[in-house]
Amino acid sequence: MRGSARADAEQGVDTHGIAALYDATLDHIYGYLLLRVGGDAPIAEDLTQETYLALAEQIRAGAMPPAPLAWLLRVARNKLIDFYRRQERTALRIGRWTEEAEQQGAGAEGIERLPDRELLRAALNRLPPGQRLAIALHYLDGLSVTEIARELEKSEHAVESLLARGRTGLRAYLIESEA
Amino acid sequence: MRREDDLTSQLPALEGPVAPDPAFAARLRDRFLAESGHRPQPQSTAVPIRTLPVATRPPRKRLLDLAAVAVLLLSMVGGIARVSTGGDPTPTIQAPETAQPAVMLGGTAARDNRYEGPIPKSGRYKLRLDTDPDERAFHGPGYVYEGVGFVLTSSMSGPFETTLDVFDLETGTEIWTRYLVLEGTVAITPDGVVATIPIDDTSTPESGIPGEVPTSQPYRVALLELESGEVIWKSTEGYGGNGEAAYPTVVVDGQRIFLSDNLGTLAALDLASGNEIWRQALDRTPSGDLDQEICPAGLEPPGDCWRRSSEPPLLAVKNGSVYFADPVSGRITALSADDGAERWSVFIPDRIPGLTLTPWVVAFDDGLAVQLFDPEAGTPSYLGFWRAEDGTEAWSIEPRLGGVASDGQSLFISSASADRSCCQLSRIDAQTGDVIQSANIADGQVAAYLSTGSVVLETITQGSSETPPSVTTLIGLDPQTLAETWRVTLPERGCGFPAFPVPDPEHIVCFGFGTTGLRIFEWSSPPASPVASQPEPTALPFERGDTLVTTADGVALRAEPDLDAEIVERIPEAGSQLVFIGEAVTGSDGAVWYRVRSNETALTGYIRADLLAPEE
Repeated sequence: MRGSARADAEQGVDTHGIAALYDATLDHIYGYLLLRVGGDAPIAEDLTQETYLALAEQIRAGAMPPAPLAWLLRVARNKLIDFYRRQERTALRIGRWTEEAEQQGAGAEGIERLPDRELLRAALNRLPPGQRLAIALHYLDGLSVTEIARELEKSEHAVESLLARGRTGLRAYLIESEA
Repeated sequence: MRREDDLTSQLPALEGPVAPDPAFAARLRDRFLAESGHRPQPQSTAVPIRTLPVATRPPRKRLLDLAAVAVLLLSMVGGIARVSTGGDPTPTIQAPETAQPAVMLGGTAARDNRYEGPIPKSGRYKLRLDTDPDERAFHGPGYVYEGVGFVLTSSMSGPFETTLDVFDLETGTEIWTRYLVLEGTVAITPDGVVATIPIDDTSTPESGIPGEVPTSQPYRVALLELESGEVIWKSTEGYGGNGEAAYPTVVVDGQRIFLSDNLGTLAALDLASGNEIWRQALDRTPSGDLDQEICPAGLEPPGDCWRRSSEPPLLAVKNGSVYFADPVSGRITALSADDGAERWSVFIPDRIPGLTLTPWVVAFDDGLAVQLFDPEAGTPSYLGFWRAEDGTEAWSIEPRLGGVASDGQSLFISSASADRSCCQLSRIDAQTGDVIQSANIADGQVAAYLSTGSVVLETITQGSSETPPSVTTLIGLDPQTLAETWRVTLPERGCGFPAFPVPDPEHIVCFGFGTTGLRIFEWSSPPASPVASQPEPTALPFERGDTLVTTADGVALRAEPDLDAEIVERIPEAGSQLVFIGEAVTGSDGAVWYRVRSNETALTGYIRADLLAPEE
């Protein structure tokens, strides 16, 4: 045997299996991230790429996770949190995002015609990144306030505040759009 | 009015798979497969060939490069610089279909000479393109990344300068160039080029002092756009710069950049942002146990000797460990890649009082292999392996080493002789230091290991004293059998330094030195005869101690792996048992031979592989 064929055999997985794993999980991982980054496709693509390259590293090291989708989702979440932390450190950028979100909200004519699910998605996308992440981790990923506080390296009080402001933001957006 | 609880309870309904952009999905699929050690599947969508704009050169203090301008103008009207014979339309050099992993380029970067790329087609090649060299000189190595050529270049005269020059391989035109800190290394990644640039990157670097090791200024780490060389980010921290040569080394591992400098700084930076993650200051105090001057053979201090203190540290990263090998302090230090915490540090002066380190240092999962170089002999003469877990030296060998490459598990090492008349190529198990197999080679050095399954040897047939080296031959060997599987002959003044990987199976890219420039050769004709004595690649060699049986009556057990060698014993019957004692070699006839011991007589010798089979 030679080259990569040997590596495949050593790892107990074949190329077709790896390709099939990618094909079967990509839409889940991308969808998971896209929802949590406010529908920003380039960011979701970047984080998706980071997630799969982390898996590639595992495979190359001969440590294929036993439950790949769960592993990918966990890594995707970590990548998301890392991304959020990086953004948070770049206050200027976050400020710009918030401004953009506010501008989007101010000029969202016609959004009331969207179906509820799309309206809710739009509302979630409009939230500032910190609030959106807290809302997603709590209501979508099922993390407790304590767990979110640990992941985001914030106090529980700060997380509760993010959640409260996020909920208020969602409601305010929907009220605006129904007005 | 909606209540907040109603709203949040509806959020899970937003969950669900979403198909990303198909081009992104295809690109990531190929990269994921490649980086997980698998070949991309044929049904994958190919990544479009990257078209690179010709960028404006940054301001630099040297004469207007009329030759480059001429090349550029010619290229704009469909011509190319000094094209060789043949009127065929210039073929397009296809970019690889997968994003290539990061590769380190440069003198002191950790390199294993392992490249992801295609196998060249056997035969004679003709010179398709030869650019005029300017006053600078490539000092390599060159590298082909997505159809574009990258090479490190030094000035031949005047102020010492190092630039990274990037070429369009269809036309030979320079796409962009950028100053680096003297003798700096770069890492080419899918995200951009990681390089060390002067603090003020708009002006010419300070001159060095002719005849002395050039001084250096502080510098920053930067991520440069692949397409234009423009700065994406540069580090807020400065590095290096105390008057000694800087020799900054960058190594990229995943999303982290590791940097070492002449001051002993070892730092980890985030590839995405350039933010420093951690930094360590390692002690580079010169060891009193080491010769403080390094002198090539035949020279006495001060002569052309150089100070040990100007020797650069070497850096390698693998499996969560960063290794810092320092010829000044005589120490090899392992640190955690996560936080920079020191794991161990060993002092190795007894191996290197007169020796120094070569640019060849490679990290494996289990440890670090380092070549030590004897300036007086002019060749590397010691290869040691230090264990990752505790820094103990696991094994060492002391051949007169030629070239080295690695496939990540094994080392491919050629031995060298002063007159280049001999040599052997050996595959060595990196964990144990055992020679797994070896083959006689007429001459040559290991130039590369291609992930597609070739160990590449490079040989140069010297011309006369009036003419430069004339013919370069690249030979591909099967890594399992070391049998020759392809051969490329580059005529017409030779190659200079071949750049790996090759851009496609029918083109070879070379960067010359001094009076030669960028050369691109294309396949011209098949070899006069099929690649000689090309045995079928054998299965992976048997384990030492395995029982084998002969497959024919009257098989000869010979003293050497050669049909003309003395017959030690003739084994009468097919099915006779022998023990494989751990060496597979390619004989002078090109066939693979196994070293075995007869169970009957305990005599040892060689039998051709095709006359042996594993015991059922």
